[in-house]
Amino acid sequence: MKINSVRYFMKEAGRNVFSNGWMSIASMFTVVASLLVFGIFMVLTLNVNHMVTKQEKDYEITLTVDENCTPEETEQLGKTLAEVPNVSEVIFESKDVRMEYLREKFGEEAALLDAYQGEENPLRDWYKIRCVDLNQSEETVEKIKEIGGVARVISNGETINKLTTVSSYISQASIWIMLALTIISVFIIANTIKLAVFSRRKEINIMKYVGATDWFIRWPFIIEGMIIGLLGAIVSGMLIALSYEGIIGVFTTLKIAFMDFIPLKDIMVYISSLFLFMGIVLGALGSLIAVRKHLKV
Amino acid sequence: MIIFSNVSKVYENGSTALNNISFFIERGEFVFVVGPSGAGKSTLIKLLMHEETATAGEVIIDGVTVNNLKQDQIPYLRRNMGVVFQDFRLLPKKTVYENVSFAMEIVGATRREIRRQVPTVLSLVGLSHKAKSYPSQLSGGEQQRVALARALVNNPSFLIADEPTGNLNPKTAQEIMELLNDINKRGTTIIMATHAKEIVDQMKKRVIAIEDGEIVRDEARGVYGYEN
Repeated sequence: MKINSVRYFMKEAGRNVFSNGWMSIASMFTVVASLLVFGIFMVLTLNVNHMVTKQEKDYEITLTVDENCTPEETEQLGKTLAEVPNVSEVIFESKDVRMEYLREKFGEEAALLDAYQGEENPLRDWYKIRCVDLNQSEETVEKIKEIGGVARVISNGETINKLTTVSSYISQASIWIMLALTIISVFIIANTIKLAVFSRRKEINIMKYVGATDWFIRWPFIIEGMIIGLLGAIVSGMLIALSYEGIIGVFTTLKIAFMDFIPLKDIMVYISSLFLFMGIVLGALGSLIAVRKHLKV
Repeated sequence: MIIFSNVSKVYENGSTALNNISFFIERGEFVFVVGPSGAGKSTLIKLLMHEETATAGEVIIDGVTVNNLKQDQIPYLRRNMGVVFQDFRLLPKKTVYENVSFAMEIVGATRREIRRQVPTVLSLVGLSHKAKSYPSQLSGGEQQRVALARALVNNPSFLIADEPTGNLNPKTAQEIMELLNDINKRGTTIIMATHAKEIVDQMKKRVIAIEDGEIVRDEARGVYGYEN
């Protein structure tokens, strides 16, 4: 492709976008709509997966020691736990240590806990256990429950399971919604390009007589579609960026335990490149359909 | 050189537009194609432009048999042929200069070539002073000159003119014919389909007369031969 021709294609494509202004804007917004939905689901999935990973990294089984156990029995329990298969680490926290942690968390209001010191401490001793293989953690939990002197076993396996389920629902829903919106935006772009082709059919006719090659006639229309897709990608990318911070802010103030978000910067690395790619592909696809169907050259 | 060898054209609806016609046109000739409406003149032009393909026989242009030319080769065939129409077919939103330079952009000419060639061809058709005008600001004769400039700007060997004077008054038509004659003298082969009796009779060029899809007459210094 010659440089002169590329310049010509760009000029013509740009002019098409402007001369079909409203149609270009309308089709750009269908791209924005489908990319937004895609972006929202992508952001959700990325964040949920991020939370799952974090939960898995922090995975631990916590078991509270029966309050009737003597200190010797509690120590013995620790040794037994260390011998359970799949257990990599056993950490003991006595109820006094836990009360200290609690007081730290309460900060200035720690005085509220003054009544629960020493003999009045309602907390129990507990063990925190880390696993070698997370996939086998459920079996490990079952085994621990069978050991004498264990009052209660808590693991965040439940949270991980729930998050994983949510994540898979999101992916499934997003695939279908994405597909539908993609098809819609491709066809709306195709329609815009079709109008552009019709409005210029006189010119196309003359081009044919003067000896323009088929691709020479097609390129400006394909570039027009790509420009529409590109603009759609930029607009939707910016919308995602602007709303992401705000939404994270709201959730962060809610302080839900397992909620931990990916920073905007990292999200935008994924979103921007993918959006640009998808926008351009959608646009090119739409114009290819129109050009194939309506530009018999 | 253009050779039509036993060419027939039957359209899909079954109507025969050309029936076994043969002729050849030498480089540098000036040929009128005359005949009543529906005789097959337009079909002949379309076969030359490869807008239609012959259903039998061969159309050979400069040694290339165009019947079985591949789709992607057609543009290159057309670059060697300038074409003008009765209705000028200029782009209304482009200036005279742009209408002409457009034809060069399409074949991938450099900006330097365009800047050199467009003024040359505009001065050839006598429109240098109208370069910045729009088609709507021009008379019919001037518009046809722009169309001629566009047809000639890529230096084609052939100029095909389909009723080029059909929309013009006799005086303007006369001027266009003089211009065509000049262009012909510079070596461009001209094939012109027309109904203009006075013009054909006056020019005394070769005349190919077609009736009902057949050549009824082919004279070196012919006349129109029909009553209008």
